[in-house]
Amino acid sequence: MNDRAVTAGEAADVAGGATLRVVGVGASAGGLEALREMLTEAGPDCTLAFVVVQHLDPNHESLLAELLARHTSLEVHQAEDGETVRPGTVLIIPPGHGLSIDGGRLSLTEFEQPRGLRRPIDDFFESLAIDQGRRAACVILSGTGADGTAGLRAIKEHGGVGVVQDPRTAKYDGMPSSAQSTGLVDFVLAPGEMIETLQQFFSKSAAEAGGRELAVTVEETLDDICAAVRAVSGHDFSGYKKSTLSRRVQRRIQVLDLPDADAYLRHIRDDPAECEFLFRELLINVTRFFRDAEHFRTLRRRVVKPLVQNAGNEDIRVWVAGCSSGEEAYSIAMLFAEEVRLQRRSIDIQIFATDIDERMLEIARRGVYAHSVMADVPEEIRDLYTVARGSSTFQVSARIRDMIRFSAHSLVRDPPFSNIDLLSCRNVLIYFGEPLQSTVLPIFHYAIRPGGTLFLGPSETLGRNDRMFHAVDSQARIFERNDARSEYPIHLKGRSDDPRRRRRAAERSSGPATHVPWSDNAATERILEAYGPATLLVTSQGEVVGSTGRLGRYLEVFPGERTAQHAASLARPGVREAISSLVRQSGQTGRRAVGRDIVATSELGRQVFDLIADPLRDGTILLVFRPRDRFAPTDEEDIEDIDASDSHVQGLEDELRATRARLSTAVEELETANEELKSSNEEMMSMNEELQSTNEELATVNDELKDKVEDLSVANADLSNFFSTTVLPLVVLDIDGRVRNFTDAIHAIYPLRAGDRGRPLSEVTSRISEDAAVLAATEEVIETGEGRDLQVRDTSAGRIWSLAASPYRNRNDRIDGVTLVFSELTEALRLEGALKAESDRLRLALDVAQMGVWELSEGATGLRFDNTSAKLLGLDRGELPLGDFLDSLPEAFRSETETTLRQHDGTVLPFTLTFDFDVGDGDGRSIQMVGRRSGDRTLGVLYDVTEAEEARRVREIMLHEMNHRVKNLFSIISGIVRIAGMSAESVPALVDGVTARIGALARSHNLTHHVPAGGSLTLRDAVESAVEPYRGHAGIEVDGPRIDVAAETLTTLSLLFHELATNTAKYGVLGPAEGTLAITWTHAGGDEVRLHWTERYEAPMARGEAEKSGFGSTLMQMSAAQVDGRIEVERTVDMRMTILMFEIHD
Amino acid sequence: MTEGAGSDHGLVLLCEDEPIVALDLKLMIEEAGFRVAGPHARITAALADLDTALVAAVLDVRLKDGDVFPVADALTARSVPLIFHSAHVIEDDIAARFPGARYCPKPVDRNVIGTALMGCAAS
Repeated sequence: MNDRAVTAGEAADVAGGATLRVVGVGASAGGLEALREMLTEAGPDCTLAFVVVQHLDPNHESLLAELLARHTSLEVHQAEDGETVRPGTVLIIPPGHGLSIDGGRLSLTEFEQPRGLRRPIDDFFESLAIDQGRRAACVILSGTGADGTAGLRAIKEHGGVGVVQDPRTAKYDGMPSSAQSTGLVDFVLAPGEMIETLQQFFSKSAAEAGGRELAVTVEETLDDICAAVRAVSGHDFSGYKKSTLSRRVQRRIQVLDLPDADAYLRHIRDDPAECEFLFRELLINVTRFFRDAEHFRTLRRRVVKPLVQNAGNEDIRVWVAGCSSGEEAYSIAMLFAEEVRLQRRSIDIQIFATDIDERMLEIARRGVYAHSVMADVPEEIRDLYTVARGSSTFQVSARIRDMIRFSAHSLVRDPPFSNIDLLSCRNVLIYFGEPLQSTVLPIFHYAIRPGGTLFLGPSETLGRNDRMFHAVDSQARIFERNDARSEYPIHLKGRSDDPRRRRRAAERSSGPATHVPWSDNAATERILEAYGPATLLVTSQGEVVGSTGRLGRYLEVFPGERTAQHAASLARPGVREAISSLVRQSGQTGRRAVGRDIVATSELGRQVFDLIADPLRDGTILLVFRPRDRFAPTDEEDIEDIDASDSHVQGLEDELRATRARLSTAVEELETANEELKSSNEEMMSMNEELQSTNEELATVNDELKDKVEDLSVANADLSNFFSTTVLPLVVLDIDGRVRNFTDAIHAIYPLRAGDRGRPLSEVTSRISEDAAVLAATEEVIETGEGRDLQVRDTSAGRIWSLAASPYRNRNDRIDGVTLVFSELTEALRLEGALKAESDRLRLALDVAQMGVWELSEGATGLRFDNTSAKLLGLDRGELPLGDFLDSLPEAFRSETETTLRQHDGTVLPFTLTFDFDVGDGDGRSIQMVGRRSGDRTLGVLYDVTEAEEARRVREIMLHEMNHRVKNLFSIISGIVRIAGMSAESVPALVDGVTARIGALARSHNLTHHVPAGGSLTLRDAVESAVEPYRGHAGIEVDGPRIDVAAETLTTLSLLFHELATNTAKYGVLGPAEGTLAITWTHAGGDEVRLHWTERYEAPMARGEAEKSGFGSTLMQMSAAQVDGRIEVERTVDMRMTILMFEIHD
Repeated sequence: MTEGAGSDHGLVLLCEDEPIVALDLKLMIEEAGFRVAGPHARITAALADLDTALVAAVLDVRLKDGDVFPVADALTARSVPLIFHSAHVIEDDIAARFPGARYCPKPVDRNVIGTALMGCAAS
């Protein structure tokens, strides 16, 4: 049963495919914290499947799944019946059920044990071990008691891996310590390290093919490994079953992460500690109190009870070989103690309990076990032989412990004990290979006294050694030693290191045996069979044990009744009494007895014989039938007589048997009554246990609740801190508008005191003027469930608050009140106003200045413009990519602008760009763009400078023109001077002439600069200007239509009119002559103008000298020519008319 | 007038719209021993008076009906040496447009114009 070669899980492995690794996690009190720490570390790539088994209160819903799910990325939920375990999930045991796993599917089981004796962790681990084998892992976390320890053994036995929480990190170290004490744990870790370790372990063992190869190499090196272990520990495992050895070695290789068996061999040779590990690994053994309880009951009935009954002065010697942690030895000791007690005997009982594992022996010697295994001890003896030690453990009572002597002893190496009444060696031989079993059984034969008992494990058999023992109860594996000659296992003496030499020694030792056992030799058998007297071997009770020779004359054979045949009942009439009396006599005295001349009557005839009873050493009696006479066939009549003589005794015996049967019925009835009492007691016990279990479950619930309470108190502390420190005025109202809670800052609005809790807010006087609105909003929020915002003001203090009234919802999401939160807006509003005013002012300034704002977007990819600048640039949108903007600039400005704008170093100085920009309506505009970098923003303004530019241009043109005119004037003046110099008669005349001409120029210039607005210069202006100096003279008539004259023409005309006026003044009516001057002009058709300068003399005047063509008239002619005109003069004695004809050019 | 009255170095076209300056220049040119065609105050008049015998032309830049350049172009086409006489500061323009033209800024000195005319007549 412990020796399945391949488990279901491994079978699945062989089939290949699935990489499911199931981790059973056992936890109890304090386990929540450990589970949380453990599962928090699971990454999303975690492919392990977790099954958490926790001691839970069967009557309460568990929060475990919910609590764990918050802390892990794995999927966590409560397991359901029939659910398949999947990688990356955590399944939690549901309350009130056990869990088992079969073929990767979980099933919920009903507990058979009462609460307190349940061991859900052990149960699950055991099923997990069988189902998943090497692909299973178990983790034992915090908890009291020892649940999980037995499960760990099972997991380990099937090749799984065992992990235990480091007891120092566990809140309750009972379970981890208990598990650790088995010495079978692979990893002792803090919870946080477990998942990673397991993943590593499984990833190492993942390659199945590698595993097979490994198995081969392991088998090849197994002998060397055994030799290494033997060299260190002195124990030789080479005789153990190869399959078991190989599997366990493979596991060590995986745990150590070694590449192959050779590496392991090197490792084990280098590291003596590894020998110790492997040694322990090899010795994994599941043991329990009264394991296979039925067998123990049989043992007690068939062996212990008789031993105690029949004990004389000698000790009863018991040997428990392979006792492991002692449970079996204690079980047997309890059986003996109980029998002694019941039978009121006083007998010395010595129990030798041996094992090769000193560590196990230490556990055994302490005799302290977890409370949970108590269930294995039959209830009736539980209290007698155990003492509670602490809350979770008990100790076997000192009386029992004193009966047992634990010692390290190797079955195969050390000399055996001898003269043993009962040898219990259970589940040891299964690990031994056939040769080793054959070595060990003779040792047992030697050790057990004749008639003593051998008690084996349920799957162990005698194999080929059945001649040494015979079954007393083959079901319970109870065997009795045959009285075969036992040979001292001589090969044990020399602790040979060479198994072959040892074997030879064994052969030698059996060689020179002088005595040949009679039952063992064909020749003897033949002699006995054919030539010896008929002989019966019977027990002291007369049961037939063996027979030889022809017994037909003495005995009747009833086929079918093979077992327990009493020699007396088989005997033929006449023989029966003799046998009975001789057996009794001989059994009592222990001496030979003879019955003579006994007549055996059969259907065929009579035989006279002597019957010799010879008691043997082992308590059996040899009955030898020695015929005295020849066999005499008889008549049928004789039979009647003999029958009559026998029937009385026969009747008595029948009656005795019937009485015995009745007695046994009575005893049975008594036992039944007793059973009932026991069961009542059991119920009492179970109630007690249930209470204990409830306690443990409560501890778990308590843990969970503590967790919640902790969360809550943190939340509460947060909240109260918030309430006491926040500067936010806040008040919470219940559904009736009563004050429930408020922050200290609320005093700014409501003068609330602690005692005001529960008062309706409507009764509280506030500092704000919108009380009614607040209350209305409150009611509205409660009705609609939607928040409201409003502004309220404290008029006296000039403060403004924003009030947010939001619904207060309870856990069920129902509206349970209103939360009023006030935030002060006074400063914000003031700032907002100030900001707005500032912004308005800036905007206004920009508007007035017709300035637009631009900003370079981040990364200098584009430009943003406000409305004004967009308008200035003729854009229809506010944004322009930088490239487009640059392209729209005149070529000359592009590179400079781009360089300026693209500078990112943050040190750009204020810059100014002026460029002509074609806005698209045909008009060029000059735009000035001013900007600077401020922080990481580049922005500035732009404005239209077209007019300023235009003004500048005009100014330049003007200056240029001025320059031209001044120089022209200089030319004219120098001309005037030069010309005057040619004609003047004297210096004063020259000065007069020059001065007058410059005066005329000045007047003409004056005229051109005093053009009335919107008007133009006329011919009349030129004429009147020329005669202006002579206005004092009467008779100047100026008349003509309005004729506009261009400025240039006017200057020339002015000069001309000046010459005329000068001449007239010098020689004519404006001077020496008396008369009138008429200056008239007319349009003469087309553009031609005809002007008459007519002097009418009062007195006829002769042509003067001055009138001859002089320098003045040359100048006049030339001037006329300059205006495309000509001058004609008509002269009579009483008048002189100068006619100027010229064209007006527009 | 007295010095050059006897000699005749050739015919010079004069364009000048200011009568006094025109008269003055006419006298100076004649004094330098040249005959004068013009003075013309208009481009149209000047263009109508282009004589193949011209040895030089004294041109004011701005005339009544515009800049004198059409006249200058026509003269250049006839290889008539040009003397610009102007108050405008446009030497560069003129130099670029009429390489080889001479330039006498206003107000002009009669020696300067005389030298320029003699230079033209010699070339």
